[in-house]
Amino acid sequence: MGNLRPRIAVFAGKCVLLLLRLTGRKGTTLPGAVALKAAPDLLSWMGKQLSGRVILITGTNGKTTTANFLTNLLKLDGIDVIHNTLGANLLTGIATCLLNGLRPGTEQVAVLEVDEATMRHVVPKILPASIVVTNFFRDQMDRYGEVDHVMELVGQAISLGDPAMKLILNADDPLVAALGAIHESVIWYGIESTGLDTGDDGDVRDGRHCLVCGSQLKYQRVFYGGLGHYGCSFCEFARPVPTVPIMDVEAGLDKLQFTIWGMTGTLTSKALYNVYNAAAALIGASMMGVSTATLSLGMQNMETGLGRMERFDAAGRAVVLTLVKNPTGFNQALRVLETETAVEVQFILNDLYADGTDVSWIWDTNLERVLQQAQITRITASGTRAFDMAVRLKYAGWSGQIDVQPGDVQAVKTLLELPHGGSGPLYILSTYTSLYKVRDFLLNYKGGGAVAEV
Amino acid sequence: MQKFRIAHLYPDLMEVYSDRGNVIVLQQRMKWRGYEAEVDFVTVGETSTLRDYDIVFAGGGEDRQQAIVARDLLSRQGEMEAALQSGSLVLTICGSYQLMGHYFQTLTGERIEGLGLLDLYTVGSRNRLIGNAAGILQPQTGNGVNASGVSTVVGYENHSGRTYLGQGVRAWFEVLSGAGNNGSDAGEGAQQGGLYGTYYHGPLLAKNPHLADDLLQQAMARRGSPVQLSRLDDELELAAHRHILKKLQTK
Repeated sequence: MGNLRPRIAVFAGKCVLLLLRLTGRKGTTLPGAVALKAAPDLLSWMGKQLSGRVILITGTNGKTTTANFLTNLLKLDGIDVIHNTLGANLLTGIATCLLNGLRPGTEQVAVLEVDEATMRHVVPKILPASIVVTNFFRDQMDRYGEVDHVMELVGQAISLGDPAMKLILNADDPLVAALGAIHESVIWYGIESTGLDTGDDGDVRDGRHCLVCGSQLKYQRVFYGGLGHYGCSFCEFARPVPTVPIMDVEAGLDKLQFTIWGMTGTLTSKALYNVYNAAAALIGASMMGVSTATLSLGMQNMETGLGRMERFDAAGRAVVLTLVKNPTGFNQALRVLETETAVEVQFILNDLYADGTDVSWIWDTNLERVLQQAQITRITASGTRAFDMAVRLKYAGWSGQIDVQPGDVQAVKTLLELPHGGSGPLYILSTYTSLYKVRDFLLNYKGGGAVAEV
Repeated sequence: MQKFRIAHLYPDLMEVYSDRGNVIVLQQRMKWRGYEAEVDFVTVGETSTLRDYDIVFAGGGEDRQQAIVARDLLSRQGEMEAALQSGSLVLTICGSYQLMGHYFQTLTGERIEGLGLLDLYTVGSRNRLIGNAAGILQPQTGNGVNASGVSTVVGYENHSGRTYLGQGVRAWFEVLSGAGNNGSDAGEGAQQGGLYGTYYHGPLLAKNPHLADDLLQQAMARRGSPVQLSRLDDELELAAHRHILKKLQTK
């Protein structure tokens, strides 16, 4: 009986999935919801099937990109991977992905990105071999609450895991580093050396006070947000020495270069945070037994995936689309604008539930800096809260025209049809609910703009 | 050029709700009118002379940070009073607003002492009051309506504390939509002399340019140099303001 019920639940879920597909829908959560209803213990059963071969990825930013990198590395080594590709990272989305991909009796590996608040429901059931925690930043306060609360939730989840589980933690984030105190087995990664001008962005530093004693943290170096080389001015708390140091992070043309384990890798992205995502993925892959030869090959031209600094060729026009959802990610995207000799930018700011209904976070971004530093030729404010964005730009000191075009796809279309001689590539910074709509539109623009080769 | 000075208290600690936007708005609106507008940051352990400032501002923060700030603020009680007496205008949001009252009693019964400059107290609760909100300016407080004729105020609430006003203080706004101070008496925020407090984030002044000008004008009058501030083009700000009002109506 104990074995039959999950199997029936999986069958029921697959039927729902099939029905949804027949009616032309994607169904990233409903099949899982049905299966979980049929067998509440479904995840434990799935965890047993995948025993020792599950990696969970959580944290505020970089979950999807890290999971994509890791999946690509595993696949390159010939491993059969289950992965929640579309970022459906709540309980029902995870169940859907597993019931769709799981083939009991095989040696599959599951790479699952999991929402921070969902972790404590997933960890005790799946009992993952490893958990990656990317970072903790202020994010959608209406939904998650304060950063302290999110950290607590993830800490709780970790304490519910197998004691032999390996944590893969970002040493450069003091909030993540604090998790090291609650678990024995940790692999730390962090940026050891870089020639990049990372300067202080005036970013919101969610962790600038010591979590142990409350005193100020002193930074010898800040990479972005609260990430850097730090130590408490009063107690013992300090950046852990990375088990896996990331060396010589440098910028190339349209690329970032880094060295791990003496091997040099490249990213087809100019955003520094992707170096951390790459490192976490490489460590995860090596833990799952991927060979050094494959890792060395897989770390060449690592691609960030859907809607993450993704490049398009829209009928001859270069377009870069990226997700922004909180000040830290937004500031990092702005840094990339500064590397262009001329650039046009469109902000799509929505306030639906999945975006966060509070849009005030745009006031914590360093737009003041980018308006001075970047060669911006045109600015468009779009989305359900286009006017909020326009107001922010005005107060950040943009004295030129601010084109207000509420909506998303139609606004992008209008922009692409304007003359753009010499105005440079178009960067679209979008919150979640417009991201995939705009991406689909760009892919099909005028008979299909293939993703541009970089 | 005339100098306008703003003190931003605890920008490193009371910072998670983007209330710093209010300081940007105040500063820019003075600059656009040809004033030299300076902002100084003051945080825990630093000395300051708050009465030197035209406006003193403090925003909202997380519980852990708020406890640190509470201790520091108590040591500045006399200074705060002196500033108010010498004509500074003080604007506080959310956590800082709570700390201007007599006390904050947490869910676990712990009592955090406030400055007692606003006759009010706050009690913690389990449910957070979250969402877009709107109020209308009480005609008694300040000039109320500016040349643009707008008397509504829009903001975003996100607090679990319930604030109750005493006799010596009145609500800054009357609630049109949202929970307000405590979800029951239709009042939002408080005003007592030159001291203002509210739960509205957004940031408050970004979509309420009339309120920003009202505060700026009061600050100048309190400091003995009353002026009629010139009108600015607030088309974008008021479009954003109307968008929230419309959103709340159709909900």
